[in-house]
Amino acid sequence: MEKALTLHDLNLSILVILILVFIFILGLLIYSFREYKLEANRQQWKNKLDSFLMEAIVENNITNIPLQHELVELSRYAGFRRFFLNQLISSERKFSGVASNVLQAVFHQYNLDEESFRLLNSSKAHLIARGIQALTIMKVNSAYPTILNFQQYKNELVLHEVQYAMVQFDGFNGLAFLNQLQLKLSDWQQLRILNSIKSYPQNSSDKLSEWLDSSNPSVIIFVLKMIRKFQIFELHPKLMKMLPLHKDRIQTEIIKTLFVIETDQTFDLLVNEFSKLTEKSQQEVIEGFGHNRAYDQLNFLKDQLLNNPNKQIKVFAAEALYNLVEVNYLINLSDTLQPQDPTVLVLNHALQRKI
Amino acid sequence: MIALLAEDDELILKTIEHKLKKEGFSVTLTRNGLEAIELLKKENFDLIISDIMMPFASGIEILAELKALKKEIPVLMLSSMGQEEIVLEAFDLGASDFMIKPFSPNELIIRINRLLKIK
Repeated sequence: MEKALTLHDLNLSILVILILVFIFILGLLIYSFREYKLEANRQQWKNKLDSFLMEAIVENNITNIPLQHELVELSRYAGFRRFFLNQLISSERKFSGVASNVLQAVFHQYNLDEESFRLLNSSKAHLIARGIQALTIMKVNSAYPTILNFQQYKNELVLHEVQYAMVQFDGFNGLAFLNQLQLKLSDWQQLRILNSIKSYPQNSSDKLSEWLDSSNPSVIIFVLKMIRKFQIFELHPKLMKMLPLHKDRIQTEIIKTLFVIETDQTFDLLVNEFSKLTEKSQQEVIEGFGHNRAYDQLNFLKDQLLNNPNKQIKVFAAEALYNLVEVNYLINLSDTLQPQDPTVLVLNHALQRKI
Repeated sequence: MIALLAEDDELILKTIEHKLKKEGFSVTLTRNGLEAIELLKKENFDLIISDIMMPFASGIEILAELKALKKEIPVLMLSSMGQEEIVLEAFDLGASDFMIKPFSPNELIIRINRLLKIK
């Protein structure tokens, strides 16, 4: 037979629940207080470090970085050391020239290189990534072989930092990671890497050509951006061959690149391919003709304006003609066409947008 | 010489402020674009240094306001990488020069002195 719940049992249950609620509230309060204290500490540390770094930068003295007793004392705590490291990394992104050398001197003076190497042994991916980032940004060449050991690491954050390190330490040759890259190279990572490559070694177009055949679309897009940055004209024939083989973004990126490394054949070749291109790419071609002063393609543009059934293409053609100083043609055309003709609407729209 | 310095990054703000003071400038600081616009309406400056991306109003809006106020003051813009299109817009609106972060504070001072000489 089941035992009935007594008043005593009920009281006991309520008491247990109250104790649990009390413990929960107490835990929450302790946690909030700790978070508040940490945040207050961080703010205090930030102000101290900002002021210290600002003085070091303004003084411009690389050889004589002061060892502030307070900062040395605080550096005994791992939390502060990591905070200091983060502040230095973000400061290094703000300054170049002598100021950047000063920040590197601070990094070594306060033994933050040791802290960065320690982070490489962490089991947490974000800490490893931070260690690689610090050693790269602070140009610790001796760390490069160790960083290369993380090339196969199973975390994207770490891999991004390894890629960045390879380019920072090894320049163009560091791009070797593109050979077998399976993961997507994000737009931000592309920008970061592109910005780090300061020079393009002569006779490297074979390597670029190889990457243009990659099965990874983000690698192709990155290489196209590189061709634009360094204006690598010898790849023009290769890009023309690639044009019909791709669709979507790669195709429009190829067109953008062709306009940057334009030859006397580019415009005619693009006109020949025009009907096979996607709508977005067709717009890119017409826009490019307007910007690149394609005076020899006026008839083609006029034909697109009058006969292309796509309204959007008509608008782009009208704008390109406007850019090529064909305003009178557009106005005359607008006057001769019937008011209900759809081209008139397009012309008015294009002219209004430009004027 | 009075300079208006608009920048929301504390370290950059303080570093440029000290560099400018060393050069003999009197510096008015602001950490947001809207306040910079208000200051421009009320006070006269010989030079403006402004970040492009700032809270409440961007460096571009500061330039537009300057144009509306018909004040001809040299403006040096600071921008981050990847903001090339905005930089072109800034030049269209009358920016005199720009520097991309990371930038050298020493070079900034050289550029400022050159700007003021041209003026």
